[in-house]
Amino acid sequence: MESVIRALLIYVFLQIVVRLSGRRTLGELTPFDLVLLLIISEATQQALMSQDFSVTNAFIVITTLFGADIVLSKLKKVSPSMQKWMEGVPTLLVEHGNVLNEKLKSSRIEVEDILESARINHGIAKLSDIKYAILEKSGEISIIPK
Amino acid sequence: MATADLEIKFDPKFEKANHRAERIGWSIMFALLVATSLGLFGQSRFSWRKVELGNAAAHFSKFIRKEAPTQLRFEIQDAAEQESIWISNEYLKNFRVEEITPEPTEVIAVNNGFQHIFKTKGGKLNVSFELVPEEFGRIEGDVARGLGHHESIKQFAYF
Repeated sequence: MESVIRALLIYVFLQIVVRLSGRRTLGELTPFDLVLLLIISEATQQALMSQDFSVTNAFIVITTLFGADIVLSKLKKVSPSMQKWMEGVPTLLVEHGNVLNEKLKSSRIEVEDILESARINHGIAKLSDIKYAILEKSGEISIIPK
Repeated sequence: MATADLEIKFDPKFEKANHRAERIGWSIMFALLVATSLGLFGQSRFSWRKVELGNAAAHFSKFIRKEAPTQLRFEIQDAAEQESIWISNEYLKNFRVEEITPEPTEVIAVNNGFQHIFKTKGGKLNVSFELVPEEFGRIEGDVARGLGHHESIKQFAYF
């Protein structure tokens, strides 16, 4: 029972913290983000398993995590509002070459990030050549050229 | 917004609410970090509690961790030649008793608890129970000097 509670608590906690950390963190992993992920997974592993490293406990923890994920995905389908809170919504960052500063500020995104995405994905060099830039739910910036 | 040619469901109202919720979440995270730095989850002044037992007192940590040693300390100001501390079974069942300092001369099961008897030279007596929580969640129980007035101890063991 304790293993199930541990796994559920950690699942819920990680959902909240990852959601609070913002979409940008997930969208573009820097080398340090990768190191951070490894540290987090190490800390999580110890909390999940406690002192019980048995195969049975591992089965219980894995089953609980997958079970929680299935239940959450079903709940998100039933409740669109919950889906929004769990995943967020797309945010318009640039409209017809004009930067929507308030949206950038609240999303913690710099104009340079948009330009970088425009250069990498479309070879666009200027903001004025961007019709729309959208921060997707996944954390990636999608660019629609003019 | 002139985004009619974009087949995306934007929701500015939700974005604002989400932004507000994010800030509240950060504040809670920050408050938790500050509280932890001040010792909320450790043995510090911030988490240390005291219950008065007449001319004696019991000191304990409000938040304890399962399987991590913790102390329950008693201070008796005017100890007689023989003193005793009673702890209820309800409290002790949650712990593994690692050590009692000084060692009691006798331990008697009485009144749904254990009475620990100590021989002293009078004056001030400090008794320390080294306990290891074996359960998680709310822990409650009673303590007393002698078999007199009981006081409740409430702790929370996290894992």
